[in-house]
Amino acid sequence: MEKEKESNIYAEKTDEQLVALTLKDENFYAILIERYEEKLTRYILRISGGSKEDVEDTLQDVFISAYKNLNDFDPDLKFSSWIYRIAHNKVISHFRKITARPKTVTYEGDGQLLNILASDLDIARDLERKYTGEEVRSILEELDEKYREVLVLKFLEEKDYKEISDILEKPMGTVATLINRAKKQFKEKSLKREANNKNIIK
Amino acid sequence: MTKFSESIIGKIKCEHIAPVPRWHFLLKGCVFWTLFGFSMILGSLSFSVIVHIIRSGDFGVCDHLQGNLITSAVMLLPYFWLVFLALFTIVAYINWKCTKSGYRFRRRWIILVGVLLSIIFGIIFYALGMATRLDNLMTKAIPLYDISKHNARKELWLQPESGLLVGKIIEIDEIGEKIVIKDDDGKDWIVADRSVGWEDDDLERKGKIVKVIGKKMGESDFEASEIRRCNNCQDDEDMGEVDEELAKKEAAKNTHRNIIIDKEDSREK
Repeated sequence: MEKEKESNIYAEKTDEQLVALTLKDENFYAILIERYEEKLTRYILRISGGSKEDVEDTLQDVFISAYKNLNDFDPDLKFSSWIYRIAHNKVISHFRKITARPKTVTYEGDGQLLNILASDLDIARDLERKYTGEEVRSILEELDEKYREVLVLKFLEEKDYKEISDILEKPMGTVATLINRAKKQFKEKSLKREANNKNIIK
Repeated sequence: MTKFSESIIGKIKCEHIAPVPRWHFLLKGCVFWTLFGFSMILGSLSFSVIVHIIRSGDFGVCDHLQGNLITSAVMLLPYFWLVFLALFTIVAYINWKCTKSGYRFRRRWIILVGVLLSIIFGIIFYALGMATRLDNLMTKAIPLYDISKHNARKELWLQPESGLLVGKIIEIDEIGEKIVIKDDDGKDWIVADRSVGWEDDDLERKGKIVKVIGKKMGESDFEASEIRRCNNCQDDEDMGEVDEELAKKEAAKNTHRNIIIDKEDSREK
């Protein structure tokens, strides 16, 4: 009972407070790991297209690396942006070396969010119909990596421009440009797909 | 604790993994900021020498030269320093990008601000006389720089047919209102300076390198209409190489009178 009460107190602490506590006692790091384990697993899966084992290895690396660099954490940033940045960099170094690997990007359980993406892009209105989660997912897979990543961060991870800028280490203006270009590419690919579908029906 | 967090904490404990000390990151940050500052200073110094070279007045002689004005202007550009300015701006940009908040600004703004700062500090350094000192230092320390500067000066200013002459004053005849200057090829010229107002009294001294605009009157005679300070030249005083003994010998050998006697001798022969 006492222990449960204590763990509840710590669970209410902010990420930044937990970082300070972790620097004194590594056991507090477990709370941060638990907060981000699921989110980062999903993020790594979404941008890497690696197997579950690869993702787990990467995730482990992310948390170990974040722990080693805890003193480098800049309190001006959100802890989430900082750890997402480490994950982004680890994915680049782990997965992008293996160029031959066939990629199947996973967006499990993202159906609703994928539709938000489609509606934000005004594609549903243009095509006079709603896109299925499956269709959005397959178009996302066709996008250039840099565009897919910003769309994932914006629409699936629901990060704002400032956070995306901190994660990708790019200026906010560049992030805005990337998102616009990504939307444009997404739209082009979906229109092309629509035209192909119409031809097949004819 | 979940199984995953337990395994991470276990690994941290088992392998005695510890956070890298804060001073390590502070030092890393300091290194990048220092390199950035250093590159900015060097870029500013490069710009100050560019100002020094442009202010040396060489651009004003374009109208004295025959041929294409653009070609002459292009020939006068201080490429060495322009390359240095570009190089240090790039190094400053790279170091800025490596700082913690470097990624927040667009490349074009970082470069633009870097160049603007180099211009502002360059003008300040120039006003403090650092450009001349740096130019002299480079001339002394790097023979290749000295040679290229010498060649550029010679190419532009040693054109007696076009009315341009450069050389070191080796003799001053105040009564006859003539000076003898030794050009970069080692040839002595008797320059009549009676219709010339000197830029300042300090310039009319032995050992000073001057640029003369005027007209070639004979094999070794020149009529000056303008005598300028050679701002980016290293005369004896700048180089600190005044050898009294040698100067006396040189002066005795090349006095105005001796040169005139030599010329008369050669005419008689």
